Amino acid sequence: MSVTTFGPRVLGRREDMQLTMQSLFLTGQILPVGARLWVRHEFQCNELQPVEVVYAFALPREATLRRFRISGDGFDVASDLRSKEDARKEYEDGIAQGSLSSLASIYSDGLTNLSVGNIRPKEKVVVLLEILAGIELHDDGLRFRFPFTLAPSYHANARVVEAEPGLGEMELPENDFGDLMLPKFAKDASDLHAVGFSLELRTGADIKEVASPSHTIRVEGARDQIRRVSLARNSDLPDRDVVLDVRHADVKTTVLSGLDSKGNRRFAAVLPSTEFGPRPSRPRQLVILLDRSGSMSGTPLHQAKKAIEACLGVLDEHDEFGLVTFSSGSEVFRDRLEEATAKNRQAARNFLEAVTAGGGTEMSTGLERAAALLAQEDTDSNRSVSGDILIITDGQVFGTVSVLDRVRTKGVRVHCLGIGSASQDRFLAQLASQTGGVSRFLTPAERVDLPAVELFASIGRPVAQNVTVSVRGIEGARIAPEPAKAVFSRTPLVIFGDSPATKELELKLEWQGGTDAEERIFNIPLETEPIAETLRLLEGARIISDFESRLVPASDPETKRERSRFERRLGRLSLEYGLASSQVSLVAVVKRSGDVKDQIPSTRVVTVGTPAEMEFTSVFGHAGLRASADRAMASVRFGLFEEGSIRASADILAPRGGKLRHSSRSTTLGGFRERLFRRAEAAPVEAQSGDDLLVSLSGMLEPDGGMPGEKADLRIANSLAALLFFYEHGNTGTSGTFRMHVEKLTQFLTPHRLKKLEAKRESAAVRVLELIRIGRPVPGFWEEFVRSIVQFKRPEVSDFWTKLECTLTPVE
Amino acid sequence: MAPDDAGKGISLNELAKKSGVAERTIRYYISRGLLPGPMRGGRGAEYTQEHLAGIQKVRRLQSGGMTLAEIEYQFAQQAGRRRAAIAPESWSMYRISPDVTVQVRDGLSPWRIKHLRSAIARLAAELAADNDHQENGDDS
Repeated sequence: MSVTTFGPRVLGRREDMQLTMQSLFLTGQILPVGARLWVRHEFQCNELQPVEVVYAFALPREATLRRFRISGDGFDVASDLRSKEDARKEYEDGIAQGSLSSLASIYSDGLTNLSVGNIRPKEKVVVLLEILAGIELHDDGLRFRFPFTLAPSYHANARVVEAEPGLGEMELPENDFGDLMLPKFAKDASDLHAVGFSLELRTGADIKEVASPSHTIRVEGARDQIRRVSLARNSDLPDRDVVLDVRHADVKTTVLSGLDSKGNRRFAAVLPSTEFGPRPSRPRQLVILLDRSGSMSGTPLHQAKKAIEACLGVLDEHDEFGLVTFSSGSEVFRDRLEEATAKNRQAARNFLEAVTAGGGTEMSTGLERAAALLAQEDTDSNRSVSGDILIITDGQVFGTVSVLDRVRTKGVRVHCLGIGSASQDRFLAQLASQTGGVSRFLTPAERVDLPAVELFASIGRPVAQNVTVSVRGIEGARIAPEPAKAVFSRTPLVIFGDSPATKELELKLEWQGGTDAEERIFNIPLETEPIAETLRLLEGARIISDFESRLVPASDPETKRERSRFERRLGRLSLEYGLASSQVSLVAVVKRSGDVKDQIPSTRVVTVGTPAEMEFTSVFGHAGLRASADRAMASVRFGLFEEGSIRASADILAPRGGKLRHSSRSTTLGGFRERLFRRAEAAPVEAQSGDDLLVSLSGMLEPDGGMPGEKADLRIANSLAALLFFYEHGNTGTSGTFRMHVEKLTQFLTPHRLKKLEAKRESAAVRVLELIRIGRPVPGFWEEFVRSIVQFKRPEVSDFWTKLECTLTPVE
Repeated sequence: MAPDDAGKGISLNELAKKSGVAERTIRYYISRGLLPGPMRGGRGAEYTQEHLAGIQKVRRLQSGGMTLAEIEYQFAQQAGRRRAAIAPESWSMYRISPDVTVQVRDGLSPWRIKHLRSAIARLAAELAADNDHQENGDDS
């Protein structure tokens, strides 16, 4: 066997000293209903023979590829769209001819390989790849997310190894992922290619604020509706997604329209949830599903637990709830839904306290368990949805098509709160949209608990259900893809469509509100903006990415036939929209003078950084092994010997006195396992900041809406203080993350209940409630009193009332 | 290196078809040293039965749970290309009865683990039943 590659290398590492992919730069526009992006990949061969480079990345939500240009010294060639077989053949023929060949292929889960073959020694090649992508829309703005790395995620059949110190490799089963090549994962991304971005914001509304929880950004532009956002420094590391938040000055409906190249009218509309009326009040049935896999350990799990406690605090006594956790298996709080009584909620808190992180991410097991809880309580056969699930997860799982397939038919709405620095945003967005829920994705640097409470406040009680949208009076007009059937507070309804007519359009919306059926007509004005082509592409990207997620692996002849039909349909859709999919790839072959036939290039897989905040050893192994054996490898699979499941299955299977055996070193298996599957929990940060106090307070609400206390007057004082503290932090009964808590506290503080107070205090309480009702400020600082409630200290009630009466005097 | 049955080398495309492995993947195997390069480089690169057997061997090892890096390491050791290092192994020891322990190598595939768990549980149950019989003095 001969070694066929040469080239300078960093001592002790297999990586080439000079990187084959030098840089990755993201440009493009973020629009009101999606993003049109160009990603510039710069390659250079620093070896003595031609190379073939494979770069692997994950597509963002609702995204697909449109085309690319490959350029270099004396050439600039555009890609062609071909069936995947033809594209592969063209690429391979090009390689065999010694030509510069490039192929972009999409695999399951939106994983994509960009291959560039036959880059000659010293040659520089640039591939500019166009991507159409979706964005996470909110009533008052949006969140944009683009992956600069890829998370090594859980798959039961993945093969994982730390191939070199600090360099991990992962392989996925070929049955589901074909010949996909995943990147190598570097523990330290500082030696890798540079990344950067410069994006234009044209979000169709006055921009109030632009921020990024992931990168330091520079924002330029004086015009109200246009900004340019770029990386503040020259370049950054490929170890996390770029995340941008855009906040608009107003909450308003946005409508876009124009004529495409065929003379058809294309349109899109973003209707904020406020268009559909207030949130109805009705009992909820919901299950909170917590991911407790190893990758959630530390702060994310701690915050998620706090968030769940806060969510439990806003349940009414008539609400029914369940609590499920999952990792390699799943565990339930109770095997049925429980009423949200004080006793049950306390029991749920006790259950949560014992939850630790460890093991794999068998998400479908958890989702099925949660769906089963809802199904057994659903006695109303007319209901299309038996309840809501809120899943809190990092979403780091491969093989998502199977998860989606198992959940889609369960008749439950799944709302997702994702946490991670390298997104599975695409998957969680699909999980939510295909079950009728909503999703949010956070970076680990952000708090989990506040968005969880925010999301929780909107689920279970959609502002509109059974939504239908139609174009009035024009034959051949269509709405596609199908809009969401339910609208939730804070999340707008997005509509795409087209019409053969050139006249002004009328959209008819019908929905079920709190009690009544409602309808509204929206006009789509006759615009001739050049956005029509972009709308067509974004519509196509949404349809195709949704279609992709329904390509279920086939096992028997019947499902194989079904899958083949589905694949052919997807192929036709791709060609119709001019967009790539798993059935249609992009290919370009550049013939250069001096190409040498049948010269085999060395294949190099581009390394990416392990996502920031992700513990390298939680996936790829254990330093102790490497330290004791030069160049030896520690191979670790996900989900093996997961402690919880071993103990649960049989006590005899719990390892006792296990040893790591090695000729020169011995260490306890317990410690080894601790590092692999139970990353040391970050020391819980006790509630101290204002936000922490809010979360803690919200988790203390009793089912009747009031705060706890030994006697009636203490409960009233505590409730009033909590209400004042929520109000002080910008929450009212209709706005703010804790709006449901404010609403419940206000309902608790009834005139009848306040009569139990002595007259002076009753009068002060009534005045406070009135000021809050009319939106007037209430002076004073209530943190000290609230802190004593949270810390279960006996608060000085008389001091509270005295302070309240004093602070109210100047108001009048 | 022997040519194929007909005494003539085959192209990369034919090798891919025969092995069911994509051309790009074969090139990757070659780049990693898992397969030798073609019989001759440059024009008319050809492959042989040895390449086909090599690919099949890699696939076999992969289906047994090994990664390419592990296979690469194993091949390199067999070829004596690297200083022989003792590959570390971690084992879990389960005491399933006061006088019986079972050791299981870590790093097995999930389906293998599932199978082993069930087998160990059965053995443990059988041993526990034996112990009960002995404690109760019931030898019949």
